Amino acid sequence: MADLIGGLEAWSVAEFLRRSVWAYPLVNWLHIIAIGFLITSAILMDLRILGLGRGIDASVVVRHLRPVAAIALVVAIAAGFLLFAVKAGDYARNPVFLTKMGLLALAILNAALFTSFRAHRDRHSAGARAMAAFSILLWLSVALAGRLIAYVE
Amino acid sequence: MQQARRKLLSLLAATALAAACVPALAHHGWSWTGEEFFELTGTLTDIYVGNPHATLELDVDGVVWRVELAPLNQTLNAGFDETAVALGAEVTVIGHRSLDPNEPRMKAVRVIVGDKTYDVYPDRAVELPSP
Repeated sequence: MADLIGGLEAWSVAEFLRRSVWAYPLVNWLHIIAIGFLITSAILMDLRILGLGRGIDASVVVRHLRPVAAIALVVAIAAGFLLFAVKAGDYARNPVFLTKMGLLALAILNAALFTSFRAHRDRHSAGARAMAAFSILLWLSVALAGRLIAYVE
Repeated sequence: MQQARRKLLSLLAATALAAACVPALAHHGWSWTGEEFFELTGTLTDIYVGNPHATLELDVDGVVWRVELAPLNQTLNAGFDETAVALGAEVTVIGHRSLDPNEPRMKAVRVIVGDKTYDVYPDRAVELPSP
C-alpha cells in the first residue's frame, strides 16, 4: 500500500499538478462541476421516486438523468484521482478523506442495487423510497465530507 | 404545532453540528489567526511548495510547528521554493499564529532564511519593518 501511494506521488502527472499554478485549479474545477451534475441528477431522480413531480413518469426521469449521473460520476472520480495523486500520502491518512471514500462506496452501491433490483419500476414500494431517501442523504454527506477534507489533517 | 416543533429541533441540531465543525475549519484565510504579528524561529524539518497549500514545518525546542505559506503562485512569486532553504536550516517566520494557544500552527507573511527575506504576502508585509 505504501509503495502504491509512493509510486502515485512520484507519477509524472502528479508532479506536474503539484507545481502547476493553472492545471491544478482546472482539475479542481472539473471535479466540482462533475459533482454538481452528479448530485443534482441523482437527487432529482431520488425526489421523483419519493413522489415529487408526478407529472413526469419516473421511468422517463430515470432514463434521461441516469446517463448524466453515470458520466458525471466517471469524470468526478477521474479528476478526484488526479487531485488525490498530488498528495496521496496525506489523503490516505486523512480520516475525513477515508470517510468520504466509504460514503462514496455506499452511495454507488446503493445506486447499483437500486438499478439491479429495478426498484424504480415499482415507484410506490417502500424499499424504493427508502433507497431514494438514503441516496439523498449519502450524496449530500459525500459532498460535505469532501468539503471538509481540507480542514483536517 | 408538532411539525413546527420538529422543524425547530432539526434546525437546532443542524446549528449544533455546524458549530461543532468550526474549530476544524481552521485552515483557509486568516479567520483562524490572531491579529498580532507573531515571530517564530526554528529548524526546518519539512518543506512543501506545491498545490493545494505550500507549508513548512519548523522544530522549535522539540515542538513541531506547522507554517502555512501563501497560495502557490504567490509563494513562487515571492521567490520562495525548495531551493531557497535546506532541511535542517534555521528559519524565521513572521506572520499570525493560530487563535488556539495550544495549536502550534501559524500563517506566514514573511520568511527569513539567513540574510534573505521572502514576503509571501507583500500586502501584509508592508506593516513589517523593511528587511
